[in-house]
This record gives sequence, structure tokens and C-alpha cells, in this order.
Amino acid sequence: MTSKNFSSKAQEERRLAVRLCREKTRRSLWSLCLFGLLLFFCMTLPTAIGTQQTLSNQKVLEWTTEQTREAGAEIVAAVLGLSNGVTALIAAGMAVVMAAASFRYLHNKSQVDFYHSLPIRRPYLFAANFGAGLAGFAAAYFSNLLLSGLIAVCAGFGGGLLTPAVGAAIVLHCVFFATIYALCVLGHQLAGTLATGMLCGGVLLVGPVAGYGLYFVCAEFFFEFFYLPEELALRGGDLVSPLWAYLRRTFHSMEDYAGAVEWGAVALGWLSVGLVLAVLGCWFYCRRPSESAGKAAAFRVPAAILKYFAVLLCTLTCGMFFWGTVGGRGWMFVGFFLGGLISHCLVEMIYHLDFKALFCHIRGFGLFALLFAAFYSCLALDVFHYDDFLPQADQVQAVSLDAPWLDKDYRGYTRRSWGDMEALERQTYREPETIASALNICALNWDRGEGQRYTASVRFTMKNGRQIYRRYLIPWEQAEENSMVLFNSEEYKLNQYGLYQKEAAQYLSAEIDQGMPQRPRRYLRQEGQAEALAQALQLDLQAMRAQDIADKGPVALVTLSSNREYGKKDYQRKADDCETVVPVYDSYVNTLRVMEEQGAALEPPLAQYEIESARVYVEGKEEDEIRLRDLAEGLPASAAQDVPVGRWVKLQDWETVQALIQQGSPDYLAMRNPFFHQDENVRLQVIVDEERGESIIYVFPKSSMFSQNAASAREKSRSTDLG
Amino acid sequence: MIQAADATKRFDGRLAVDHVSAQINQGSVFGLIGSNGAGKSTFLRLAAGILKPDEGSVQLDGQEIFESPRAKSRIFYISDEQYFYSNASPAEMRDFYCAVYPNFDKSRFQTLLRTFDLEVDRKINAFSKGMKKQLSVICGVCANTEYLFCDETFDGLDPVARQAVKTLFAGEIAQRGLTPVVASHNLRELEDICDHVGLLHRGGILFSRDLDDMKLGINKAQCVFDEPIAKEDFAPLEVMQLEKRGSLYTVTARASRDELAARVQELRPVFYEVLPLTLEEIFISETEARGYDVKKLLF
Repeated sequence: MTSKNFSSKAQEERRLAVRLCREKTRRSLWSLCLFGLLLFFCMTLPTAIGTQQTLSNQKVLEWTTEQTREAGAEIVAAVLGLSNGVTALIAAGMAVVMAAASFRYLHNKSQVDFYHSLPIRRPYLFAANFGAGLAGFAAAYFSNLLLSGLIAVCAGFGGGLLTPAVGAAIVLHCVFFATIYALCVLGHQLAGTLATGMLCGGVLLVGPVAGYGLYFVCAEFFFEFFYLPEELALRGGDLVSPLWAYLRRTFHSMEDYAGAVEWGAVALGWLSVGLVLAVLGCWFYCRRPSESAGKAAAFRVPAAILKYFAVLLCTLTCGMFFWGTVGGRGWMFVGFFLGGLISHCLVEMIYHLDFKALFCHIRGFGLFALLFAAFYSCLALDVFHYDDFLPQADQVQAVSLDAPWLDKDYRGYTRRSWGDMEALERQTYREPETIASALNICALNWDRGEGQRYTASVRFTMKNGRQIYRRYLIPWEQAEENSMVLFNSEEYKLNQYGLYQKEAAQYLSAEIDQGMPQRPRRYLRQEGQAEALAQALQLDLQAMRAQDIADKGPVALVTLSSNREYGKKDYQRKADDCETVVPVYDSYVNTLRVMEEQGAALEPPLAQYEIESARVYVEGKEEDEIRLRDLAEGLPASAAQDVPVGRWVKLQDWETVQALIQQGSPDYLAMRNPFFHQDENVRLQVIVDEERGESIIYVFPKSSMFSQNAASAREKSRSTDLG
Repeated sequence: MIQAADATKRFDGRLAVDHVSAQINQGSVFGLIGSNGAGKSTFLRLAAGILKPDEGSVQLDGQEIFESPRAKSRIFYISDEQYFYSNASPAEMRDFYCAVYPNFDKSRFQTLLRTFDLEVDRKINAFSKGMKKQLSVICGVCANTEYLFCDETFDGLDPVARQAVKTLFAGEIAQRGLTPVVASHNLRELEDICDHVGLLHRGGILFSRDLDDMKLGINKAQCVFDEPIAKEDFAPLEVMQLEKRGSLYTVTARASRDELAARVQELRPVFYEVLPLTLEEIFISETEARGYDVKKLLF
């Protein structure tokens, strides 16, 4: 054959493929019309209604042209953008249906004979059928998009079409439709009947997500210290299923993510996956025996793989279900057995299309059961030492430790996301000293003492780049003691305090709050004031040690903002504004000096005239027979009231209140100090305005005299009772 | 020429076509005979390039047919249950086949539709089984391919339509050298039309021979004798079958007509007549000679 003949033959095949594609699309007109109609009701009609309402609102609410245009553009972007999740659901459904419509002929013998007797090679035949599905979606979606666009433009809201949300939506709808469609087409290549083709597609779409979810359930069950941040878990779901990735992105606005780069990467990634799936589908199509039409499965090996995948999922699901509902390992094993056997039998029945095939390949199931038992045993016995894992310092590059006792009420900048990844990223330690300290804290996990424990999430970044996550339980008492080295390190301060993440000159205003509601907060807004304060704070923070602030409440909270208008009545926060809150202690000499220089020196404690009343609470039972007078050591003699404790007791004199205020600290401030060991059994409430409900709760460190008196009185009373 | 060399096809481990070697010459009518499940349809589908042989090859003029658009463009396959697009009419199928087979004769199609009294715009779904068969034959003939594979096409056709189709085939063969390959289990249907026949049994080909050669080589005589005679009395002729009903003997022998008549005369019959053999009788004789009870093969 000459090259001319060859190229003309190839052209002939291409022409025939196009003809077949057109014919197939015509034959699938019913699905095109159905989904076109559904898209009409979720795209075109809402656009028309939304634009109409906006125009009505312009008259009723007397909007300006600019306001109307903005509102209209928002409506258009909302309906045609990704936030319209219904479009995504329809597109996903259409992908499933179009795959069945395009390739259902494979499951009918006479249709297979018809198509495969035509003078066209299988890759072209595949392309013709595959293209019909894509063409159907394109026709349904773009016709509605065009119609909606025309409506928007005619209403004067064409600007809404040019938003990134709409552009991203168009790309992602097309990409995810193609990918889900390719996946379902692949399912039909592996199957021999329409029903098993749909089932196969369903397993390929949903199975990985189900498996992924089961992975978490089982990991939580087997491993005490299993942990994976929510953000990573969600991203992992994005990687295993296009349906998951698609629906997740449609129900979140673009602002939740990193922007165009991530969207572009997502689109490109899934487009590549879609192409690979299409190529794989074509590969199976070309090798698919024509005689498999009407059988449940077209290929033995993939059929077996899918079967055991489905059986594994069902086994795990049933076992976990029994464990979760009935409880106990015994029932869990019953669940494993039932789930595995029933699913195996069901799949065999489907594969053979015969009820009597229930117990086919029972030996294969037996082998599966043995392997499953071995796998279960490995996990149950922790053969891979998951729960024992703690690296050596020389093995890690960094340790990210989300220690809640150290991360009390962190006030950094606007967070990119509010998940636990942010906390881990922020509390990452790379210096040898801080790494060693973090590892020492993690090692406390295996301290089997009694008492309450903190939950600390950890990420180890190993020297080979691998990242390993764990969640440890750290005893309260040892946690703080072992945290001092970390707390005192420069790295901790740089991580924890947003103050160091900006240049001092970027701060334009400062707010000083001493935790006294009846006194207004003070603001420094003049040129250089906030900058000077920020510089002083940076110095004081660097010098600060945990030992210096132990059991001391901050004397004030300073909020530094990059917006000079911060704190004003009409202040409206902009997207790029940032604030950071820093507690100030009496040891911050530079900060207090700068505050004084700028006329914002610390105010004295509450005066008597500012207080309407005060009452004190000391925890105790009636039978303890503790009187307030018993706790009066260190307090004025007038505090010696013969009043039983265990309830709120109003204080009679100002000197007692004053003395107690000096020993305690407002809880609003004290909670900022991770080394303030609060005595939960005693507190003082100072009411400044009863009508408005304004009061200050003072808390006491365990080391305060008042707290110690209360504790010893309680102990004495109880030991007397026992005696 | 279509040549099958040791073509083999298995379905779930069962041999459907077992090392079949056959030759279909262009310009002849090939009849593929066999009972249900013999492998006729499978062999046809191998030859049409629908199935891939597990072993051996099926070639058209030296080129493998499977996945060869060039070879397939010379073949039109009519299945026992021919598929037509749902809700399509003969006109739509005509337009489709026009795109597939460049030599499709539209005007001939119209003519044949009228001849067979089929409406061009009526939905094919509304056609009877026989009408659909007629339509599939018309499509096959009008495609103007060199080979036309018909799988049990005559079944379902009324006697008039059957005859019409045979006449149509004969005309196409004479006019442009069409090579029909017809698979059937009905010997009588193929007798009028086939030049060459092949018998399939349990996936294997028992024999494949020219019909004329078979007929020339075997003859039958009915004779009446006063005294009983045996096969040996006809020596040196090879007697394939000797039936006796009372005094009437029917002898089938592998000999020419003259040779058989001469030998019968030598035995002094009361009456004798040399009769032509039907295809069925030739088959029975040939297969019994190979040790098969053809009734079990075909009926």
C-alpha cells in the first residue's frame, strides 16, 4: 500500500468515526434533552429570575446604576459560578448516564456484531462513542451557558460573566465531567451487562472514597495515637475520587483556597487523570472480547480485583458497623465474617448471573479470609510499631507540635484556613534545642501515670522529607514543666507571636486593654507611636522567660494593628489588615516605659468608687465547716466573717477586696499566660455595674496566699472528719 | 479468497471452532452447514472480523481480517439478529450505510425496497422478523461489497421471499461476482444456490467440497431384484449405502452414472433407475462413510 493509500484509508476511518459519533449523539438525544432541561432549571432560569429581581430592586431600593450592576454581576457569578452546586450534581449525573448511553452497545450481542463488523478499527470506534458523550455534555452545558450569558448581557450584568468564579466554574465543570465520564466508561469496558457496567462505574467512583473513609475508621480503631490533620484528610479525599474533589470544590467559594494557582493545579491534575482514564478505557476496549457481551464481566483479572476490593470494603464496613453499634471485638468479628461472606456471594451471583453460583470460588474467599486475618493480626499487634513511633533527634528535620497548653488563645493574623494544619505549621521547630524539647514532651506520652492529659498533635518532618503525624496524650503536670525550654526559646516566640511576623514600622495603631470594662481602652494612633511600642514589645518578649511570668497575670493586653483606624466606631476591617495581641507583664520594662512616654501608662487598679459590690467564692462542702475567717491570714481583720464557704459570699469591706485584687488577676488577662496555675476552687467577682451586668472575675494562682489558705483549711477539715 | 488456517475460538474454555481450515473462493457461493451449536455463526464472525481467533488465522487475500478496515470494507455481515438503530427507518439505515460503504447503491436500494414491498420511511421496529431479514439482505446487496456473509438469513423468510432472495443472489453473482457465504442448518435451502459446502460439527469442519464434484462422484440407483443381493455383489464399485425395502433396493455408490448403470444391469434387475442425489443424501452418505450418524448431526 502506498503512503497515499494509507493516508486516504486513515482519512476514511476518521471520517467514519466522525459519522458514527454524530449518529451516536443523535441516538442519545434523549439524555441530551433531559440534562439540558435540568441545566436550564439550574442555570438559565435562575439567571433570568435573579437579573429580573435585581432590576426590580433597583427601583424599589433606589440603587444607583453602579450598585445595581454590582448586585447583578454578583447574582450572575453566583448562579453560573462554582457555588451553584446543583450544576455540579447534574454534570456528575450526566457523566454517569452518558457513559452508559455511549457504551451500552457492548452489552448486547447483536449490537456488538453490528459495530464490530464495520470497517473501522477499535480505537476509532472508541473515540466515536467516547466523543458522543463529551459532545452531549458540551451541547447541554454550553447552550445553557450561552443563554444565561445573553440574559445577563441584555440585563446589563455582563460583568458577572468575567469573574474568576465563572471562569473557574466553566473549566472545572468540563474537566470533572470528562474525568467522571472517563471513569464510568472504564467501568463499562470491564463489564458485560449494563447493570454490572453501572455497578463497576459506581465502585470505581465511590469505592476509593469509601475505602479512604474506612481507612480512618480502622486507623482510629487500631492505633491509639493515629492522627491526620483535617485539611490533609480532605485533600487526600480529593486525590482518590474525582467526584469528591468536584463536589467539595463546588460547595466552597474560591476565597477559601489559595487562589488561581491551586484551582489551576486542580484542573490540570484532574484533566491529566481524565486523559489517563480515557486511554486506559480505550486500551481495555481494544482488548475486550466481543463475546463478552451479555456476561457480567469482560475481563477475568480486573473482575477478580474489583470483586475482592468490594468484598474488602464490605468486610471492613460490616465489622466496624457491628463494633460501633453493638460493641465489642466479638461482634466485630461476626461483622467481618458476615460482611465478607455475603458480599462475596452477592458478587459471585452477579458475575455468573445465576443464584446457584453463590458459593463459587469459595476457596478464593477462604484465601481472602486468611489474608484478612493476617492483616488484622498485624494491625492489632502493631507489628509495624505505629503506636511506638518516636524518632530520635538526629532523624528529624523539624517537629511541629500543636501544644494546646502553650497555644492558649493565639491571636495571630487572619488565618488562611482554620484547620489544625495552621496550628501545626505555626508551631514548627527546627533548632536542635527546640527539637529536643519537643521530642521530650512527646516522650511523656508513654508515661503511664494517673491524671488528666492534654492532647497534642505532632508532625515529624524527617530528614528524608517524609512527614509523619501522631496525636499524643501528655500528662498535665509534666506538660508544663517540660515546656519551659520550648517556651523560652526564640523559635517559639517567633512562631507564637505575630508581632515578629511584621516589621515594627508596619504597625500604625495600638490598643491597650487592662481588662477593666468600665474604663475605656486606650489607643495610640499618632505617627511612630505604635512602631515604638512594637519595638519595645519585641525586645521584652525576647528577654521574657517562663520563670519570670509564672503565676502572674498580664497587666494589660496590647493589640497592634496595621490599620490606623483600628478600634474606631466606624472601623471596617479590610482583607489585608492584620492585628496581633500581645500580653504585657510587669517585667516588660521597655514596653511600660514606652507606654508611659506616650501617655498611656498603666492605670491604677480599681478604686472603691468604681465598685458596686464584690463577692468571693471558695469551693467547699457544708460538712467541711470552713469559715471565711479561717482564710483571713494575710487579709485585713475585717475579712474575718463567720460565714460558711461553698457559696458566694458578699464581702463587707473595701480593704479585703483590695487585698484580694492584689493577689489575683482578671481571668480575661490571666488566661493568656500558660504558666498561670489557676486555683479553680477560689475566685472573686467584682461587680462594677450590676444593671448592665458588668463585672470582673479575678482568679488566683495556686501559689497565692488566699488559695493556699483555702486549700489547707479544706484539708484540715477533711482530715479532722476522717480522724 | 478468504482463507481460514487452523482457526480456533474458545468461549469460557469450550471449543466453539476447533482448528478449522477452509477456503472461500471469490465468485462462488459457499454454504456452511451444521446443526445448532456447530460453530457456524462463530466461524462467520471470525471471517467477518468481529471475533479474534485464539489460534490460527482468517485472512482475506493474505490480510488478516480482524482489525483491518481494508478487509472489512469488502465484507458485509448479516447477523442472525441484525441490529438496526432504534427508531430508525430504512431510509436512515440507507444513509448510514452510504457513509460506511462508499459503493452503496441508493437507487438499487429504493428499487429493492419496492420489490420486497417495504416502506422506506416506516420505523424498522414495526417490521416483522421476516421483513427485517429482507431489509438486512437488501442493505447487504446494495452495499456492493465483494463478500456477503449471511447467518441463518433464510430462516424466517416466507417461501416467496426466500426464492426472491435466491434470485437476487444469483443475479448479483452473475453480474458482479458477489461471493455470498451462507450459514444454515437447512440443507434443502442451500441446495439450489451453493457451489461449495462445508459441514461443521462440534466446532470442527468435517469436510469442505465442491457440490458438483460431490454430485458427480456419487450416484444412486433404485432396483428391484428377484433374489437378494448384497453390497459385495456390486464390486468393484464402492457402495456407500444399500437400503432394502422388500424387493426394492436403493444403492448409493461412489461411481459415475454410467458405471453404476452398467454394474446394475449386470446383476439382471427386474427394474432399475438411476436417480439424482439431493444435497441431503450426499451429506448423509459422506458423513456415514466417516462414521457419523448424520441424523444426529443435523436433525
